[in-house]
Amino acid sequence: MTTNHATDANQPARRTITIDPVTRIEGHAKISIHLDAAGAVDTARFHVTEYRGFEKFCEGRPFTEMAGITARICGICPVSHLLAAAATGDKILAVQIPPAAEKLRRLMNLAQITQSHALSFFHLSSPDFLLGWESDSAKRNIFGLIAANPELARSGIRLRQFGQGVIEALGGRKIHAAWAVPGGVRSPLSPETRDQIRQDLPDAFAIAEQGLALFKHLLDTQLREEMEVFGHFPSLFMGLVRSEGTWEHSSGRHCAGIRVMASDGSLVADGLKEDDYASFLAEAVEPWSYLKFPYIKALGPEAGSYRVGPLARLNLCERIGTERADRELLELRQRGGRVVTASFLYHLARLIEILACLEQMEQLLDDPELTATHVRARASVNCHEAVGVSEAPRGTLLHHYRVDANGLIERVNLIIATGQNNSAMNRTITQIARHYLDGNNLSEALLNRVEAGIRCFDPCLSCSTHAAGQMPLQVQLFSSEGELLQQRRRD
Amino acid sequence: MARRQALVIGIGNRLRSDDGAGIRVAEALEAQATGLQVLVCDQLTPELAEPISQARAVLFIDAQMSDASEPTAEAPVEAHLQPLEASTLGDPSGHALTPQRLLALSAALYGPCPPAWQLLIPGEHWQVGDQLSAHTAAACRNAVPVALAWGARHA
Repeated sequence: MTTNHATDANQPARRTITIDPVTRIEGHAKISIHLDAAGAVDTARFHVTEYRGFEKFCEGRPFTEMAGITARICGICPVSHLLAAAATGDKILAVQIPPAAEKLRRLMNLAQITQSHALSFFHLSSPDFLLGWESDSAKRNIFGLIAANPELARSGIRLRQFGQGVIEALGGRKIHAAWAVPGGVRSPLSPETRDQIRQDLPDAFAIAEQGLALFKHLLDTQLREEMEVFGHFPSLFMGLVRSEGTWEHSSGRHCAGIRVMASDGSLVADGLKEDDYASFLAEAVEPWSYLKFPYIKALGPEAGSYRVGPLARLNLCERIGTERADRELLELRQRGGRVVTASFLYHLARLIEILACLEQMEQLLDDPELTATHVRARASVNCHEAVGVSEAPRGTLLHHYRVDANGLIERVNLIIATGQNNSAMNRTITQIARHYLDGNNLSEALLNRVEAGIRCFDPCLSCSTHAAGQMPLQVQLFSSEGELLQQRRRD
Repeated sequence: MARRQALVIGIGNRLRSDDGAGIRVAEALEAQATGLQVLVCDQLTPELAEPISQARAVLFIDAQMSDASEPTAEAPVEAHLQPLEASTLGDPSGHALTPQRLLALSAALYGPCPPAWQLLIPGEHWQVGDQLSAHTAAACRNAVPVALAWGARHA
């Protein structure tokens, strides 16, 4: 399923600028900007230099351990792996999980999306918006944000705590709660815990509304150019949708499968089943990155590249299905069109999704079935190969396992959201570099913008390369002959 | 504000071999019902700033890459208890923070942070795996009484 495409073999000599490592994303990577002989930006590349390892490690383990193992790929979005692994395990058992278990899994995923988006917007990206591109990188971070707007910083923490608190209430731990299992979940939700979660919702709603008001104001006053330049291009979008065409984040009985939509709103494919992913997805590789480049197989690596994640999910659905979030979705479409192609609006999409999550959590908490005590279906291995899917905060996550008669893993393949945005991230930084690079001048503002272009996608490289790590920025400028002209690094 | 319990934060990934040392020591402390508040995490994230702000004292327990490329049987397997100061220097904030930056974040958001230490456990192997090396396992055993003594001082 892996093919090679476009290499440098026939490219003319050119200069290269490298940003390494990129800050405020999860994992280790660098950015290089390649100039042609005339000094104009030819292309920019987002290199991921970590190596994957978890898939191999899983071989020989019982499939029932996969939720616990894959959840440890990442400390930021373990719940996403947990739910995808559990969904895959359901299929190996060939059971339909109890309705309460499905609703509890949905509740946990909503909490996960909320806490992950809160970290991305309030702590990782808002320093870019509030402190300005020219500001010193040493101050353009959470501490600069606290100095400029301490209440916003505290709000971000409270919203993240809310999401983490729900995850802990359900799973017993904030991270790596091995609570979702093949067949359902380990424990039901007590009415007391449900009521506690409900009590905390109003504050979470207030913070989400505060973030939305702030970001829309910034878009209207000082971030218009960013909307045009930070990854504004047509592409396909891919993700789950619900049966009535509404916003979806989990597989389950109401999920209508995977939808692929073009920028003009036409459906490229609809109702795709995760089990068939190998028939419609392929992955290209490049020699300069461990991160693969998935694409829609029938269209090839260029025309078939697509975006996933919050903006994709909002583009793909007809409506979200909750009042406040639908109001915001309408406003997003007034701002960016029916299919929003500006990657900078991923940030707005995240905030709208937080609101959607909170509204859907509120609805779930009112559902009497949520506290039912039958939460697990039991069976033995009934199927030797299965694919599970879930929407992680960053996009569609697929787990594919093959097991032997004893349920031991023979093969694992994980298709991760960040990898699926790989082409889009490369196009985004190319567009930014072409717009802002002035000769050989590696200005702070340029570096800040290129980094921020990557952060639109909130990539998690620990997940996408299946390695653990953290990402600190190095910039290198090479002449057309390969001579290092200038280098900047942030540790 | 009255500060509550002393807080222990174990950091690491137990599927990265010796990287799981900090978590294992923290969980050993929790199992001994020491009256300490114990949290474990893969990495330090911003929301930890609040429990830190409320603690009487904080101990971070983490694995540390050993300087020695080839540890020998004679090499000391000690865990090092060191005082920590809040600092905004170093790696800009990302999904993960250093203990020093997390202390600084706590102070910036919630006021003066409690005294803090770190207990570093030497590790050798960081590849995917769920076992500690013999060297690091011994260091973990030695670290537990060091952490308990710290807890007794800050109870």
